[in-house]
Amino acid sequence: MILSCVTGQEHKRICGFLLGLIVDLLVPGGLDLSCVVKAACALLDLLFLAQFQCHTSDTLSRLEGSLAAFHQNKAVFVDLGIQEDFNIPKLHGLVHYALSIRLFGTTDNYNTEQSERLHINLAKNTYHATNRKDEYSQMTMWLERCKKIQQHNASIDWRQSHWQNIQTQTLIGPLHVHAQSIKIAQKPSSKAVPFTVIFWKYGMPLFQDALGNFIAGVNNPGLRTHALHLCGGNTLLPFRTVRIYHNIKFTAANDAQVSGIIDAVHVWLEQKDKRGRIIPVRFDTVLIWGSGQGESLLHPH
Amino acid sequence: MDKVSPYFIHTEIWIQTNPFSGYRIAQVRVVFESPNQAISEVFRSLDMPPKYLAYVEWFTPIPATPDPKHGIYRVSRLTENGHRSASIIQVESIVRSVHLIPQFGPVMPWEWNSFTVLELCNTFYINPFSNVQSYLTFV
Repeated sequence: MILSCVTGQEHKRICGFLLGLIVDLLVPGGLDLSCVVKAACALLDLLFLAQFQCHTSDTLSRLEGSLAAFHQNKAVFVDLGIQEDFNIPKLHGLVHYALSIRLFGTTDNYNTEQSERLHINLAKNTYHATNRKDEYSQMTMWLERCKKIQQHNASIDWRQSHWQNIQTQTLIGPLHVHAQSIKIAQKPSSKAVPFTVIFWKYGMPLFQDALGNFIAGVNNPGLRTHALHLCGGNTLLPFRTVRIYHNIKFTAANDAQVSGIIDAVHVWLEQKDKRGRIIPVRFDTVLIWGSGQGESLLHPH
Repeated sequence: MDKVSPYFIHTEIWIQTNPFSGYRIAQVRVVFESPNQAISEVFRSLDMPPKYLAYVEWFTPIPATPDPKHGIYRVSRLTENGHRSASIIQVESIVRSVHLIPQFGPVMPWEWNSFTVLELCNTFYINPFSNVQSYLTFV
């Protein structure tokens, strides 16, 4: 298969599932296939490491290490007859990543999407600001005004910074995963769902037992499993219905306005949307810190 | 989880420890909230009773070392007395969504598709490459 005109988005998606396609691959001839997976993982590692917005000497040496790992394992592509040689300019370019990052900083301002983004600012938004008649002169006028506002803003900021004499530089800090906050809708997706519905429709016979155990665990921290199950079995539940939510959303902490939703977990039974189309059942998988009993919510990231 | 302090580990330790240490994988089956009066009645001892809860089905603990053949971590459904092992957890302990790749085997069963595979397949690989944010969790 030959790929042409692949957009950045499509590239990212391919990277996201490529591993799944090759991890259990079978090839004729009894060749050692682990090399294919290792070579692909090495390149994917490199690709993801190169996108970091902050580097340490450790992540940079990992970047160099993954390129070395690719070269160690790449011979399998020649053995399989897929590739005759590796004289590919893009492949050669990878050698320069670590050095470029050391010299000029991270790669997060280098991409090919900038011109696409500017098309939105300079053409699309500008066109929408017009009344669609004689748009060219309106657009140039609008852009000129935008620029003037921008310059005036900058001038005000500059003057104010002189008054306050405050250093406004923000420090990036060490490499870590952004702290996230959890957002849940204010209104539940279903207001009062009885336990019997959860039992039958959701197919969760253990729901009430699990709820009893959870309550017992929270009220008696330190109970061992067996005692917990006994205690949980005796826990009275003073309610028969719960409010159910379909989404958990994650925003980058501190600046929810700026960054928006960065991750989401969807949980629902098969349902119909407003137009009557069926939305298939969905229960996402998640990474959980600890045992989920709230022992310490300060996880390393 | 409003304010999570940055976490510093010495680099050498960082390399040696399993990136997943302390984490578990589970499938969320329902996200819910108990009626307000009931919460204060049930969790009498707590000032800040847990608000949002989730019923999750566990996967096996993430192994300390990845599969030596290709270096990828593998998990399976966890069962207990013939049932899928499940618990109720606080929603705050969910760190992020995680992408699992089914272990297809030599031939993929015909009844598997995007909507059924999580139910029908038992063993999965953890995909660290779903996006850059999730990759950061895994390095």
